[in-house]
Amino acid sequence: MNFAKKANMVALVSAITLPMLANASPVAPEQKPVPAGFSEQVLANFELYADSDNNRLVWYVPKNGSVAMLGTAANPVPRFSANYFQEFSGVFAGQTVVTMGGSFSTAGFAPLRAQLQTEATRLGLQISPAQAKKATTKFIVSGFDVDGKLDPTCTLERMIVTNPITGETTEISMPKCEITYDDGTVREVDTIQKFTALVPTGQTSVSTSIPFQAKTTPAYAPVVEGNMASGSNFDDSLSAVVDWEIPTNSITRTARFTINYNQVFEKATTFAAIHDWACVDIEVSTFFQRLVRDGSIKIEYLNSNNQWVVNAPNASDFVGAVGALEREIRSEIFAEMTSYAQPNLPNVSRQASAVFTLRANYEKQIFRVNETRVFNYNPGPVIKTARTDMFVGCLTGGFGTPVVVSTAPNCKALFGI
Amino acid sequence: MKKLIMLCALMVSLVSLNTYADLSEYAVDDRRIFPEFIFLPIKGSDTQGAFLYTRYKKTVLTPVSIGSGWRSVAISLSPTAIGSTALNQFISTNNIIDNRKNLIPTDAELCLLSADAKRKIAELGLTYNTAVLVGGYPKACTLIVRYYTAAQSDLEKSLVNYLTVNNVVSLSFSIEEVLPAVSVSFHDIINQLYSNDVLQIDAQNNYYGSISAVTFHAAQLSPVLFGELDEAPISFVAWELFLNAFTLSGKTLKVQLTSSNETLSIPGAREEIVNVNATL
Repeated sequence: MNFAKKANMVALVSAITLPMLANASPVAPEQKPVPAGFSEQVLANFELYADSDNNRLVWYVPKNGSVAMLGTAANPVPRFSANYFQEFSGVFAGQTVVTMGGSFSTAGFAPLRAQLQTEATRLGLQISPAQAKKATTKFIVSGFDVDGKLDPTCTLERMIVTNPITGETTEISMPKCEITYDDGTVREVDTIQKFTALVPTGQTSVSTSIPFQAKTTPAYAPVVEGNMASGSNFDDSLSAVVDWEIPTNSITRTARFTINYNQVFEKATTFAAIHDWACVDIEVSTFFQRLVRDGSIKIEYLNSNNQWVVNAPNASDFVGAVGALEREIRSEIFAEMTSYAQPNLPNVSRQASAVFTLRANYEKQIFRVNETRVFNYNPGPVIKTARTDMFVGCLTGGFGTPVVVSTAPNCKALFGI
Repeated sequence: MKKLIMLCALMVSLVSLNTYADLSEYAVDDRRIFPEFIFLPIKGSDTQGAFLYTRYKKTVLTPVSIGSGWRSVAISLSPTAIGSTALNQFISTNNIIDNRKNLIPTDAELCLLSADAKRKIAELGLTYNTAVLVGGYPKACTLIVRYYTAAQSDLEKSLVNYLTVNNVVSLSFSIEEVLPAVSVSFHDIINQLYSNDVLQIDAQNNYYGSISAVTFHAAQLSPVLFGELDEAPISFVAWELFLNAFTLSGKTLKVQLTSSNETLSIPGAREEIVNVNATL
C-alpha cells in the first residue's frame, strides 16, 4: 500500500468518525422529533432526544432508578449495606440504631434498558445516555426535602407526667430529634437522624452514582430490619430525585432570501433620514423585520421534504432567519461607526457603542435589482429538564450477611435476575 | 386530679403521594382484578404497571429501647398478597414489571390508633406518643408507638399483647377513576348533515340518510359538537351515543328531532377501583 492510499484511508476514516464526535448533542424534541417506532412502554421509562447531526443516534434519560448494582447482569450485587450500631454518645447513647450506606444509580433498570436497546437495534439506531449540564439532587429523608445533608438537633425533652392510676407525678425526659426551619417551624424527625450524600454537580452523564450514608433513630431500627427481611421499599424514610438540565441544540436550518435592492435602498434612505442618518442597533433590527414583513425581502424556509415554503416552521425559526439576514446584509447597506460616549463624570464606563449610517452601495442598485441568497442559521440552544426518581428497595440481607436483591418475582423482574 | 396523658400530634411523613391518586398514565380499563390485588398497566403496555392491594395484614415488630426509659413498638400494615402464589405466579407467567409505586392517596386514613386502643393504653397508665410513617412499598404505613415504661416490663407485655390480639390500627382509602361527562349536540349535528345534503326529510318529519354517508360525514364534523375540545378526537362513548339515537332499517338511518334528543349526554361518574376500610 503506498503512502497516498494510506493518507486517503485516514482521511476517509476521519471523515466518517469526526462528524459524529464534533458537535453531536441532543436536540429539542419540537425541533427534531425522536425517530418513531419506540413502544409506549419505552417512552414511559425514558426521555428520548434525537441527535443534532447523527440521525441514527438517540440520547436517553432514565425516568426511574434504584440502588446501584455491581457484579454481573445475572448476579447483581447491590451497593447497599445495613448494620447495627451501638450509639456511644448523644441523647441515644447506649441505644441500638442502624447505619445504612449505599449508592443510588441513575442508570435505570437493566431489563428496561435492554428493552430500549432491543427496540433501538430493531430501528437501526444507537443509544447513549444524555449529558447533563446541571443536576439537582433532592433526597426525601424522614419526610424532609434534603439537598444532600440532614443534621437535626437531638435533645432530651423534659416533661412532667402524672400516672393516671396512682396520681404520682414524675419528671421524665424523652430523646427527640428536631429540625427548626428559618421561619421558626419545628418538625420532629422520626426515621433517619443523620444523612449525608455526595451529589453530582456540574457537567455529568445522566448515568451516574450518588453515594449516601444514613443513621436511623432507635425507633426506626426494627422497621429497617423488617424492610431488609421482606424487601420493602424505604420510601417511608428515604428516596431520591434528580432533576437534570439537558442542554439541547437547535438544528441548523436553511433559509432563502430574495432581496429587491431598489426597494430596500429606497426604504433605507427614508428610514435613515428619520433617524438623522445615525441609527442605533435596535432600530436597524426593527428596520429589517419591517423589510421582511412588507415583502421587500422575501424569506423562504427549506422544510424537511426539501421544499421551499413561505411560512416559518415556528417563531424561533423566524427570529433566527431574520437575525441571520440582518448580520449578512447590514454591512452592505449600513456602515457601522463606533462612537465613544463622552462621560459627564470621570471614572464612568467608556464602553463603546455602535451607530449605523447608510452606506451608498450603488453597485447593488445598478447591477442587480433582485438577488437571491441562501443562509444557514441556528436559533440557539434550549435547556430541557428531565427527572429520575429513585427508591431503595427489593433488598434483603444485611446485618452481617451480604445484601442481595430480593428473590420476590417482582424484584427479580425489575432487576433482571 | 387531672389525668395527664400525652397525645402527641401525629407526625405524618409525606412521601410523594397525591391527594387523589393520579391514574392518568395508567390504562385503567385494562386492569386485571384478583381477589387480593389489582394490576394496573401503564398505557401502551400490558406487562408494566402498578399494583393496588385490597387486603392488608398487621405485623407487630419486636419492641426496642429508644433511650431514657422510653421504648417503642412499630406496627406495619402490608398487603396479604405479598408472597402469595397468586401474585407470584401472575408476575412470573406474564413477565410483569412492577413499578413499585404506592398509589394510596394522601387523603387516606393511614395507621390511626383506634379510640379503644388509646383508652386501653391510658388504663395501663402509660405515657405514650405516636408517629405515622407513610408508605414503604408494598406497606401502606407503619405506626410507631413510643411509651415510657421505666422498668415496668409487665406493662409492656400487656400493651404488646393487646396491640397484637385486637384490631387497633385503621386503614381507609379509596382509589377512583373519574369518568368525564359526555355531551353530544345532536340537533346541531343533524342540521349540519341536513344542510350538507347527507340527510333528507320525509313526510313524517323524519331525517333519514344512508348509514355510510351519515357516519362518513358526521366523523368529519367538528369534535366540539361531540363534546370534545377543539383538536381532541371524538370519544368512543360520544360516537356510540350519537349512532344509538338513530333507528336503523336496512342501510338507512332514521331519526326524528324531539326536545329529548336535542343534547345527548351522560353525566360524569366516579368508578371505584379499590376501597379499603379496615381496622387491623
